[in-house]
Amino acid sequence: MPDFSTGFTGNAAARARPYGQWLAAATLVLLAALFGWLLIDVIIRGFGSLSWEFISSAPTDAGRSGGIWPVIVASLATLAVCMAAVLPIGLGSAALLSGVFGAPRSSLGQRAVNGCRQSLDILAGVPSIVFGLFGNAFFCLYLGMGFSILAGGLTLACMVLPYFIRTAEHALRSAATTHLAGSLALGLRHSTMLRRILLPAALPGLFAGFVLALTRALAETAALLFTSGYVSRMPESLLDSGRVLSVHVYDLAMNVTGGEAQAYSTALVLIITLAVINVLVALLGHYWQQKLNGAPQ
Amino acid sequence: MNNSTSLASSALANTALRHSPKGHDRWLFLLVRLCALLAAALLLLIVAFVATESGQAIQALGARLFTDSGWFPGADASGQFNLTPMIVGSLLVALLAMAISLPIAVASVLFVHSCSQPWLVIAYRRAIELLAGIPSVVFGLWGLVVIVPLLGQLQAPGTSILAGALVLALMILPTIALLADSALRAVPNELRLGGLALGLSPWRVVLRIQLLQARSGVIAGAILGLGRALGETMVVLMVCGNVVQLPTSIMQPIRTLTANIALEMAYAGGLQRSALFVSGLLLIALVVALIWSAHRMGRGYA
Amino acid sequence: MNKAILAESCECEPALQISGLGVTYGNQIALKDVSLTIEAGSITAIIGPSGCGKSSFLACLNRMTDLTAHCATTGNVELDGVDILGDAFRKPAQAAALRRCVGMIFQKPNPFPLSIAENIELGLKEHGVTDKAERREKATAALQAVGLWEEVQHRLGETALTLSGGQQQRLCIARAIALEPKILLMDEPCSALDPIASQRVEQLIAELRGRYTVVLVTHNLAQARRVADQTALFWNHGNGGELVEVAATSLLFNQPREAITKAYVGGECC
Repeated sequence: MPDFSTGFTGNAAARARPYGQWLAAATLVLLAALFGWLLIDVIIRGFGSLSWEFISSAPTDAGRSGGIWPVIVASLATLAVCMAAVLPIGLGSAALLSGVFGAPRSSLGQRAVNGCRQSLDILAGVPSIVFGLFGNAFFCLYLGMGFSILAGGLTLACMVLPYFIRTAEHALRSAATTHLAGSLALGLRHSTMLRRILLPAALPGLFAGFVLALTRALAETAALLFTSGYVSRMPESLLDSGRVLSVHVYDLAMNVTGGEAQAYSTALVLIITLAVINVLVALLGHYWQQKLNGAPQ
Repeated sequence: MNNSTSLASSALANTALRHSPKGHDRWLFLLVRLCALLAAALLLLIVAFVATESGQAIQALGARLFTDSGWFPGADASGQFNLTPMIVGSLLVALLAMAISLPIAVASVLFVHSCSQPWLVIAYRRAIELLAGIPSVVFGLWGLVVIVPLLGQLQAPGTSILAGALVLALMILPTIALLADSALRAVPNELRLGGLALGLSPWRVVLRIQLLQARSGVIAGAILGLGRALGETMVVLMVCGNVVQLPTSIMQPIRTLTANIALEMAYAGGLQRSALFVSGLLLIALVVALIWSAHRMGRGYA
Repeated sequence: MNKAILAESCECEPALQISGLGVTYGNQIALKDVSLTIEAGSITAIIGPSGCGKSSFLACLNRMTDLTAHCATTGNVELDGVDILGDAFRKPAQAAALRRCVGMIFQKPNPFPLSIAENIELGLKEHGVTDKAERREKATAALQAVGLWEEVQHRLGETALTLSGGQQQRLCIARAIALEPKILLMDEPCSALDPIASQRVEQLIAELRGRYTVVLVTHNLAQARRVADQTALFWNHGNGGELVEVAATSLLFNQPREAITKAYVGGECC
């Protein structure tokens, strides 16, 4: 049997005891334990009062009893407003930034594109409470929307727009790398090219961006505190104030003594919704990728 | 020569004109530019509105915003408007959270990469991506119900800088880990293989070669994580106690800039409202400075 | 009516007169001072080592240079007496009409992620063939012309990405010739294909002689020798590609005038 030992005993000793690696492994275990603690805590405490009644009835006694149905409706309405604003503006901006319409011809155009990118980068880092301040001053007061689902949804739209644009830009850019030259060489118009080739090819990426924006919006609390408001009645129009799930969690936990159990249940609903969206997206993404790669049916 | 290049006389040019699209594309070009303009103008709009609203307080109070004897705000200048305790509180909580979070995040990423198991790296990445999506209010709730009572057993009341920092650290951990992971992923595989070919252990390769190459990305990630911690509202609002004071120990409650806005915005008017917008402006300035320095670190992971 | 649009368009003598053509990317010169005449219905091969400006030259002939940032051209490319590098063709609609008359085939086959039939019919629809049956008829004819019809007639609805590389490249050629262009530009169309597929595409190019003016960039000298009527050698002496020599193919290969040509076609350098 050959002997591969080098005789560098010092080195071999150091190699035999990678303390650092053990420590690093320990941090991974710690990380898993902490998040496990958090999630299990929410599941155990939240599961108690979770029932179909809870989902489908209105809150009573300031939320200590009853359910969250109006809160779910308000959340859905806020998200719908948000995504309805994000999609067209985001798609348009992403199409321009991704270079589908060609590189900017003048240095002014180039500077405008760079400026747009930098501004979006900073926008992605602006604290959500600042979006709340802005939404309150601009949508609620300046545009006269008051505390409303409309104002809240539009505030969220400002906040998640950069996430959507960044993902969509990336998806369109990689679709363009493959198909832009081919399309132009056939003399296709940009409208045809986008509609028939680039948008379908970029669809998985666009969808991922959509979902990222959606989940960020769903998780947000601070930006909504003083834009869409606290009212937990069933909203009757988009101009009504409405309380979303995360604000409901906050309010029950902080402002309602004895609201903890219901706060946990609402938090669990929120987390389950997010998890389901993510799992669905992963499955759908897998299916799409196969379809796009032309795997035989 | 002139005659032959004149477009109107050429059959090719006629073709070109006949096929000119029915205004369809031109509208699309315009629309797309408009969208991008709107997106780019959003930041300016936000800064403009926040600055306009804070104008009243800055004009009426000036340096008093940092030198007054405390925070007892009112609608007119007779109140006291010192933002300093809140600024100190924000910085303390965020820096402490960063100090806890960064080593754990980086060490766990390094370990995962050192195992050379593709499935582990992918599973880790998926898990971290999912955890990064947990709403901050859920962290706040957990902190309020679980962590604060635990710390309260050590020293009452439990709502404190430490409570905020611990929960915040957990919240920003996935963000830092994701950015560290992308920085490590960007290191060319040849470097790793080269190290392994010299007989170095995978751990050593990750630590001495990959981390060294990826350090600017890791630092950029840390800076952006700090930005998230500074800008976070719900966690600090729920677990830090919201007492306006300059703390002398990390077991004392404090109030941050963000929590202050969330607490008082609902009923504030006049100078008080304007002073809250000043704190918004301060937050924007802090974040812009952080993002700018993260970009300076060489990678645009903002 | 629709038939008429496609039939009467591109009424031009497909001869190219290139004079003083130069291409720069920012400060970098890619090509300078190329003058060349390409006759209608002929096959012209462009040969030369990598980085000699072959592809840049080709990109000028249908204004694909517009896609590249900081890319500027000088000189003239006259198609039937009209300078296609003129500002009039910068407009997207004019550029689109030009590119419909001057088709292009790329190095890597790039079919759209659509069905085989749609790949061809999309361009036809765009250029005014509104009748569905007529589009299908023209697509069939184009597939027959590239010898793909037998292979794909029963699966026209399947995605084009299921085709093999060689089939994809022939589909791309069919996609271009369905638009009834006058000129076809081919940028190393065989270099991403295996030898058998490559031979099939090369044979197809030879069959196109007379019906289309073909400009073929290739790094395969034997291929140029087999299919081209005229061959041009480009060379980069370190400050941008230049035209070294252009001649009838047999002349260029057998009696080169320039020393570089002699060395290059003789395989003595690179």
